Amino acid sequence: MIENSLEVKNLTVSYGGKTVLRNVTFSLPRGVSVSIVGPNGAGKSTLLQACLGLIERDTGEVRVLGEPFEPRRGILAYIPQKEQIDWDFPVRVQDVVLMGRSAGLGWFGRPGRDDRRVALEALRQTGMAEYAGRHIRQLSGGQQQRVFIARALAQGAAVLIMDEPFAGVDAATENTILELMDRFTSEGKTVVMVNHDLGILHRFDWIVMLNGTLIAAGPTAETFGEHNRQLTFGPTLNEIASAEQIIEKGVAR
Amino acid sequence: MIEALKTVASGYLLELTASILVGAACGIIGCFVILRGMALVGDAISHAVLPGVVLAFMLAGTGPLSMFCGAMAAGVLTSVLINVIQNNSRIKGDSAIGLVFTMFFAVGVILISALPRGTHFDLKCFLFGNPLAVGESDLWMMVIVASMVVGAIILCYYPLRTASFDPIMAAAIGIRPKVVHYLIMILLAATVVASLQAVGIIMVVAMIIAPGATAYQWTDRLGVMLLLAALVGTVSAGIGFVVSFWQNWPTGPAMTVVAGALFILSMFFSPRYGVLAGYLKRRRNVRHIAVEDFLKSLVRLPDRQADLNQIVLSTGLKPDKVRSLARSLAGKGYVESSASDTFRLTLRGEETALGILRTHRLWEALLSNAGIDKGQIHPLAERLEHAHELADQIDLKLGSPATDPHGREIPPKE
Repeated sequence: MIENSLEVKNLTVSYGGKTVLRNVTFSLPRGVSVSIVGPNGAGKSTLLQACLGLIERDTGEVRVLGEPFEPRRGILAYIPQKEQIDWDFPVRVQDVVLMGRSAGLGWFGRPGRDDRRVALEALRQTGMAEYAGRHIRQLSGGQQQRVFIARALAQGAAVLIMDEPFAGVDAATENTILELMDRFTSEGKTVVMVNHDLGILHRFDWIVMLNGTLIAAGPTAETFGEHNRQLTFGPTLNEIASAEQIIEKGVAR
Repeated sequence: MIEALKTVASGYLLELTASILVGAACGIIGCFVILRGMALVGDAISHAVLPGVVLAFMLAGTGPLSMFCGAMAAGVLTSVLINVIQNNSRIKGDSAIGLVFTMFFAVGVILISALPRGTHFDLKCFLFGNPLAVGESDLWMMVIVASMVVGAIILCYYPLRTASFDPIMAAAIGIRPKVVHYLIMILLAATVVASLQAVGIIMVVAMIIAPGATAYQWTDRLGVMLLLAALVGTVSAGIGFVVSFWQNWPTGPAMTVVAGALFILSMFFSPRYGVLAGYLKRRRNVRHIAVEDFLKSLVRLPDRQADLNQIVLSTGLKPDKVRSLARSLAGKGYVESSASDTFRLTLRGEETALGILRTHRLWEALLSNAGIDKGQIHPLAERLEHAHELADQIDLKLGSPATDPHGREIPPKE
């Protein structure tokens, strides 16, 4: 049994001569929900992109389930932000989910009957099977999120990566995402997301605190302490005014 | 017309085939150009191939292969240069495109003027296209390149779709966005080169955009869009070709005009996204609401009848509109009208009107239940009452209430 889902070792990334992430090292266990927190410009999205292999790393290594990350295996699933998607693109719900099966098919591959079956099963698990033939524009915000989560399921990924899934969504959609997240983690998958809402930190098992470099990574209740908060956000930020309550909620959980 | 067809069939089949295939290739690559927002890049590539063509002509003379290579090199260089400017300065994409292709085009024109005296270079053919003026080997080049473009897109359909829809996710599963970008650039350049002598530098973009834009009005599936676009491209090229013989029009512009006309037709008449469909839908809604208001105003009165003035006052409709509604409702047997502009509900009309009243009062009950201010309930229900399909659900949820919040009876379901 491999213990760690995602391992990042000595990761350094720079843009145009400016170092955005410096020497970041942490590892996440399997089956946890993880929130990456930090102020603006802390390198949160950069960290996700570097993990996904979307940007060049200066140094460092990313391992998934103990092996160096290899995109073709489809072991990391990415769930985009709402505004990154062209909702007029001519694809139906089932087409989007089927994209999850493209991993490993190569340039000329075509998804087969098995792939379609897996895609439909993923839609069932997220409660979206009856919408398979709908165009993505005809869905509510929560349903749209479910479709992308179904795509990650169909991909069979061990780690799900979400970049600010709560940006610009309503409370019902936020709940949908959090509920599905809990279900995945109970099934042994790891869910990692960038999240600005410190008020829901108690819903996450782990946090990774960033500010250009790694401040701390660990279980939420014992990591999100006064000292680490000051190192991450600085001493005077309003957004951590309620931090004590957050920890209380986390401990009570 | 028949004569034009005969002429084409007897002597210009290869020209027609080449044009049709070019139309199909343009339509198919055009779908990706539209969805990826690359129309300007397509325009740039088409203009920028000119110096490549002239240089190839200078170095190797006329010949489809040298021309193809020269044009491809210029086309690919254009897209690379655009990216270089974009990535290494604060100049944005559209400005970079505008800079690069005009420079290339200008260099092409200067090169033509530098050709030795007496050499024949048919600039007009490149600018405006003319499939009738090119040799057999050029026609075969068009056939082969167009078929290769279509084949490549069919082969790579799934990764192209994934990467065009969600490039970040595609990258995360090993489909590199850069590779996809340059693959589409190369296919686009090849299509442009193949189309040059059919429709010309200036109009090739229309042949690339118009079929895809037409198809986009009709479908929500990429595969269907590609097929439709290929069909529209084929039909535009074919009809344009024949029309050019029939009316003695230049061939390239004839094909372009047909493609444009097909786009305008679908923009207005497509059943899903067409302008007309949207207009009709809005009109049906307005009329539906007017009919229901009419019936409701009658059923609220004790003897189920009213004169024109009463109805105008209670519905806010114009007198002429009320009369025309009454005529059509009388035709359906809902209303009887007398000569003195008095209208009375028939038994059938009363049933329908009670159904509307039921929905209205159920909505009021639901809204009041939801804690909405009593003064706002009626105007809100006025708008919601037209959703009859929800009436039974509300009834069930509220446990079949007998009266609405104002104490009036909710008619039972008949």
